Amino acid sequence: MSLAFSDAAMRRFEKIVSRYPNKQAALLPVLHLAQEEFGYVPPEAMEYVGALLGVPPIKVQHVATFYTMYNLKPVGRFHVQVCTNIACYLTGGPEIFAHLKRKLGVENKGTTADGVFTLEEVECLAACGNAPAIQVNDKHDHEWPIVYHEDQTVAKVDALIADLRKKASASP
Amino acid sequence: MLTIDGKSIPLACVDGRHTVLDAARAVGAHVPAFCSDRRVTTGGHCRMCMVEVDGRVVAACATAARDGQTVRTDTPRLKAYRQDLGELVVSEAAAGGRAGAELATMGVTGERYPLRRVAAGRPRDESHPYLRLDLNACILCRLCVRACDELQGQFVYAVTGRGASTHISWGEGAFKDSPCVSCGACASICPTGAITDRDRERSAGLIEDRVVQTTCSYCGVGCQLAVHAAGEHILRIEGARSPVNHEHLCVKGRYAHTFVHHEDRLREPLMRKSGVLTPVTWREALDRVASELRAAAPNVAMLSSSRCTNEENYLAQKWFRAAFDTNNVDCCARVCHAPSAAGMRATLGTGAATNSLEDLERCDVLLLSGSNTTESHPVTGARIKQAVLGGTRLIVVDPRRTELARMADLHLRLEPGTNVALLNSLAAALVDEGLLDRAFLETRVEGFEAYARFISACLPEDMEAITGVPASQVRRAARMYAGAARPMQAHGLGMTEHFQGSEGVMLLCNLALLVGAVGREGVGVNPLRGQNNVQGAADMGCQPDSTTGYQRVDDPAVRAKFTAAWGRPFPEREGLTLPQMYDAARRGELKAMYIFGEDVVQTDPDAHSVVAALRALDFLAVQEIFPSRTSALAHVVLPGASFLEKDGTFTNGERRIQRVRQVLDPVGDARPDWRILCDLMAASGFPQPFTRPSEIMDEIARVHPGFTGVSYPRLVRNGLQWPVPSAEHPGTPILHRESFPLPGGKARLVCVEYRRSPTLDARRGGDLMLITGRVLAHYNSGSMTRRTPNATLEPADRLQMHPTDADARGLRTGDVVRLENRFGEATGCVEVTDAVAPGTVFLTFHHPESNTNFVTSDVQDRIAGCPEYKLVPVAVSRA
Repeated sequence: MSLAFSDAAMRRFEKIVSRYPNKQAALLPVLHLAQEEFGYVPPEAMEYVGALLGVPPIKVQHVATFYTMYNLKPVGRFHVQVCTNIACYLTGGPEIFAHLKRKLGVENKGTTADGVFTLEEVECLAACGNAPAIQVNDKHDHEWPIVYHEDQTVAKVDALIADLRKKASASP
Repeated sequence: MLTIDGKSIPLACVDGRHTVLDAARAVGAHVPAFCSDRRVTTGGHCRMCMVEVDGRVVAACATAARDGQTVRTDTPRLKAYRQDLGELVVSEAAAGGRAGAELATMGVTGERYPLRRVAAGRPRDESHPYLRLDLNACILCRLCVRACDELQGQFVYAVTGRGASTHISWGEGAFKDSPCVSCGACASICPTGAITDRDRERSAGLIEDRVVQTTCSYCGVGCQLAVHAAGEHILRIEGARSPVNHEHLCVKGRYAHTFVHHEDRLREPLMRKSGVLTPVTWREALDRVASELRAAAPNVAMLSSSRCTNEENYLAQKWFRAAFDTNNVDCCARVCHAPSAAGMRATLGTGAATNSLEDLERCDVLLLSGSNTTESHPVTGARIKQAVLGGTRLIVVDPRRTELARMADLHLRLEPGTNVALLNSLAAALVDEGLLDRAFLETRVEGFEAYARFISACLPEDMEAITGVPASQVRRAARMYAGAARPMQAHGLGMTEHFQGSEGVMLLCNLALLVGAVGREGVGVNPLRGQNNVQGAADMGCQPDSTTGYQRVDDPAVRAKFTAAWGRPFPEREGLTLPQMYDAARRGELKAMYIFGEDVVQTDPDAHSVVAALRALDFLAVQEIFPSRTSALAHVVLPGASFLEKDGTFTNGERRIQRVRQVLDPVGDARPDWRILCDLMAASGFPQPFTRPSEIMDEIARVHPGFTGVSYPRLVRNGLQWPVPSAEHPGTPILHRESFPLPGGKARLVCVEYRRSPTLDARRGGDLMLITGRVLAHYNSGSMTRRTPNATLEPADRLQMHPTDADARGLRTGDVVRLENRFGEATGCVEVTDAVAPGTVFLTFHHPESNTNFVTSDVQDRIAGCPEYKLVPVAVSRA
């Protein structure tokens, strides 16, 4: 197996495990850690996490494929997640999602050829009061890896994408 | 009281452990249930078993039966719901099997939701030699997941994805590359045919005409088989309901049965004529054997078969003792668990497992020594895994990191050949730290004071340099074992097949005695017997020093009793053990030998000297089902019957006498072995009155005090655990409850000093220490399993080698290597793994072409004469 946690990730792993009565119980946060560390959760990562926690790899797969927030395929630097659940649906979420598909030239869960953007339609982001909402994950930003953009419009997302492109070329 | 469709159920059923589905079935109500099976926990996935409880619709399988419930199983509303649910099921999956049949009788057509068939195009897999998967038929009942997790503990399957894309998965790649151990539980439990097996595929179209319960012949666990047959075809084998295996089986018991009709089977008697084995009539063969043996008597010897029935073993020793005036009778217990019998007899008074397999579920700590249980005794191994997953703590003593060692709380990974030093240090830690059951030692054990003085010199810190196991680990193990409410032990051939094999077993008994862990539930010392009837062969008297029931031949009262029973006397002098037979043959003192159901050339150690011994005989007769290296040396070969072709009994490792029932007629001109033996006894001038095996058992019951209450009618269901002293006695699951069958009724602590095996003196620089043993797919010489698709699971003998030793020799997995020492040469196919420690290698002996036993040594257990299969130095190089 080629995948392994860095020393820093291993320290975080130890800390996570220490919060639980047994290692197996730490599966969900350790999968998140693996996703952060490896960018996504390939079968090798499931095997690695299983070995660390004493969980058969197939049972890691069971969990990792059930929850939608584990990326089973590589994602771009910016993972743009557009909510189309009920509040966002009523306030323009689907239009924003359709616009972004055209603008980025990808389908749902697709990644742009330059590897900068992955676009995904997601369920409720729990920001209904300021719908429609978009969540953007930045793989390179360890301080603010997840940012919410609320009260979005087509014009606002155009500006957002331009902004992210700039950020990508400034610090690739 | 609870009522179902107007019928009342007595309160006994409403005990909190039963469900409404159980109760409904108890009154004979027909409630369809696809995802429910008594072998596994409740799922509640399919919802077909919906019933009305007090007017509310619930899943019967997931609802506890309670006092006062009024249950309806067949209202129009329920019928409509079930019908609709059935339509939804078939809209997603092309279900076959029992679920498909049920849906068809319900009149489900699949027309109501024609567009929902989302399952089409799901994975199919035919990569495995036995199992077939087609997830297009899968209704996601998850029985396979539960069976794999809860029966075998292998965790092959999981449910992947969510919503409409949910499906069963075995991970990436072909199924044959999954961690599956081919136990077949998933195929057996699958209600739709999504997981099925080659047996079902092969037997499609044949109409089952009977199901016969019999006992598996693939190891000493003694699993009960339900053999489904049509005419002379075996359709499939399922696990039967039994306290031994609870319907579970392994890859050998369930699938490795096609050897029965293999073209290699011996189908007619053969006699050597002008140097060639030539077919002859039974009459000619029988007369030749009888006259040759009679002419050579008493310089003749019988090696009886631990693979054959109690009745046959009884006849074999009766024949030689009474007809040829010799006690030269032995069986393959000599090369496996004779040290367990000797060691346990010396300390506890009885040379057999003290407790039952069921006690594995009752103990809270298990000390497992020298046993790779999940491969050698797979169903018991699975049981141990389940116990460990359920919280039982496990201590493994083994130089190899076996599957159970990986799961263990503590793995004492000792240097091969240092069992005695390690077990002494464990006992010393118990005494040193006062972790003793003093009341038990006082009332039930003899010799503690002398023992305590002796053992104080064996502290873990003193033994560490010999065993390689850190003293702290030994002390932790001692505390864990002594701290348990029910500490249990099981051991395998890693304990017995050593220079100090019998003494090692005595030390296991010492440990149990020190903490008072004998004579009650969930404790004890339990050898995991190797061959299916090795317990029985010894019980029946196939050993040179004692006849049936361990009654010593040098006891005049015993001889008088048997003379009265048999109408003939037998000699006072002890006979030869198997290794002594070979020695006597090489010296020309032993003239003729009868080998019954053993391929000694392949399985006995130092095979070159075995061949030399057999060649030196004037006459060798072999009774077998397949031609073997041993039968190739014979003058007469008699074709016997496999366990599926005859009646009788086997006794498993927990002393349980179980029925073997004939399913098929013997192939060709082959005959049931008990009949061959009766014919030979008649030809030797010692005719026997037996017309069926039950009559032989009746005679055994008359001469064996532990079998007095045994008769075929009493063995119908779950057999009986000996001793069974009377016809009313229920059998004895636990030995030594009150006292030990030794003078004064007390057990004995034995002082044993560690001695280095002489085999180590022959070690040259660069030698690796070879341990031999088994793998899951094969049984012993492999004569049966190699002639089934198990051969594709494990096509060659594997040589496990640590990466360090492999790198030093430039070897990689798959390379073929030569092993060589002063005894001979063998070959193996390298598997690089850290399951073995640096400096040790492990080789199986299932394939004749590897000649594994050409390199095993002539060193024997000092007491029982068991060969040291588990330790010999070899030089390993690329072939």
